[in-house]
Amino acid sequence: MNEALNFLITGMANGFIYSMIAIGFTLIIKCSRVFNFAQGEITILGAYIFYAAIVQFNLPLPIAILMTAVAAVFLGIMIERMLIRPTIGQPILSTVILTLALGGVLRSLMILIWGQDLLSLPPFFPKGGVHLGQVVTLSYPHIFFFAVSIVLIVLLGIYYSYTRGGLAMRVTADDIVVARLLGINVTRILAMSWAIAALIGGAAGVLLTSVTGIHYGAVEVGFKAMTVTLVGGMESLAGVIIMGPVLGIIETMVAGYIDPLLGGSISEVASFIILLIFMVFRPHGILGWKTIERV
Amino acid sequence: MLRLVNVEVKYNEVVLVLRGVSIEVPERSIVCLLGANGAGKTTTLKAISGILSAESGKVTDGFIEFSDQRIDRQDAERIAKLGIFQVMEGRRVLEHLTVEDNLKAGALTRKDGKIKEDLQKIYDYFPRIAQFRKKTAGYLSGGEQQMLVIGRALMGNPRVLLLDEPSLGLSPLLVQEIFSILEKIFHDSQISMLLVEQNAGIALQISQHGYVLENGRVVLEGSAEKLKENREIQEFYLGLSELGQRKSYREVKHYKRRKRWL
Repeated sequence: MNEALNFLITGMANGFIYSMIAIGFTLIIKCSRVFNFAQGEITILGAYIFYAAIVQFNLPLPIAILMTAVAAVFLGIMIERMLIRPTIGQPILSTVILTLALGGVLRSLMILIWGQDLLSLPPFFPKGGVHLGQVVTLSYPHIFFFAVSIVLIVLLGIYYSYTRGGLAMRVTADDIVVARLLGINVTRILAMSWAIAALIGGAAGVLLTSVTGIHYGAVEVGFKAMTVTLVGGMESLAGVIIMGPVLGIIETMVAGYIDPLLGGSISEVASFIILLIFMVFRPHGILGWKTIERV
Repeated sequence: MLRLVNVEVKYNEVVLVLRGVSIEVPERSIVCLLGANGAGKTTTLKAISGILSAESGKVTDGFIEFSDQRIDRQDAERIAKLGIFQVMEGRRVLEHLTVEDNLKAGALTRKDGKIKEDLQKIYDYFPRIAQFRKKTAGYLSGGEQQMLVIGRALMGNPRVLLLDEPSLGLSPLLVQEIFSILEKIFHDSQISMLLVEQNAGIALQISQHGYVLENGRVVLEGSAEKLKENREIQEFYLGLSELGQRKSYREVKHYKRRKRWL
């Protein structure tokens, strides 16, 4: 029983990371229908930049965080300006392929600069954790994961639902022609979506690699987040926020209970099995937009 | 205030849709633009609001002027900020947003703090949509959606409202209702309207001036009174016979009597 509870907590902590990366997918899909296959690379690049700031340049933690944030936002805006904006008006598929290529370039760039070895960030958290009752241990990194991801997600949610900028983003997501007719600068919305996606993705990358260490292979977390996006519903922020922890829990549960029985790492593919099932039976995900039909 | 001079529009650099259209919308007036399908009415509106580029259309000759400023080379965003708001054909509500968010979206270009009062004003004009404030706009009925998109455009404090077939697909009663509200809005405020309609009868009722568009050209223009008296208009747009009575379709051989303007 206590084992299960611990799996639950670990899974949820990982899951919020997936949610953060998935939010990046969703924001970009909403305003431009583009599926950004480079999201995993952007995530890990954020972690590498943070590593460079704190280990290689030896900057104090607050400045390193600030620098990483600025670099991530800059990266997002540059990608939008230089690669995405010129392809507006071309078929969506060509832009999607472009993000795939961008992912490859970013990955080799990471190998070129930081090599193929596993780099590790200095430990920020003391060992151990807070004991809840007798059986459940909440380790310090997990507490931190929860805190940072929930704060970021809530801030984004508030921005998206209650501010004028958020409203402009929602209008653009719904109907881009109407958005232009209402005086919304849609290219700026697009740039902003990329910036937020890179920022929140980079933050997720830092959190994730603070435990696992940084390696370019970690970009595959992007595929996990992709599953979260598709199963949660491509256009629904709420869907991906819920689906992240759910998927994280399923993964750790499978790793804890099924893997030992079968002797393989089913947990690695569990999310993809779920994805396949959803794609067949509920292709718009749990909360994605169905076309509104009036009866 | 808004002036189109010899505007020519081509799509994909080959398809000539407008062949030199000149239209003027003076300050504080309702001007209607009549014509059959494919005459170029919607294209005229799109040329004004600047969204032709999204369909690879372009103003290739002539110019469009708004308060002595040329606008035919400007972005749609900029034109909206100048105070020209288009209500597109076919009730383009923001389906997944609530009614209130739809209206607030209309006011995104505004910087003044009077949005709350204006929201109330819109609800007063359109009491039907007031009861659905928190409802998802995609589920409103056709008439309510039309009211919502008109209200949304009004939220931007427009100086000119471009209306593309507000009567499309609505019952005669609802059409009456919407047009009487439009008339009321016109009397209460300072805005001008350019009204594109197939329903010539009701369009000529509320407008002061009208243009008839055929094949990308203005073939007839005049005050609404004069147009209503015009025999061609009566026969082809209002469906009246020479005696001013309803026409019996039995007497008409459409294929022979199709009017050629030029």
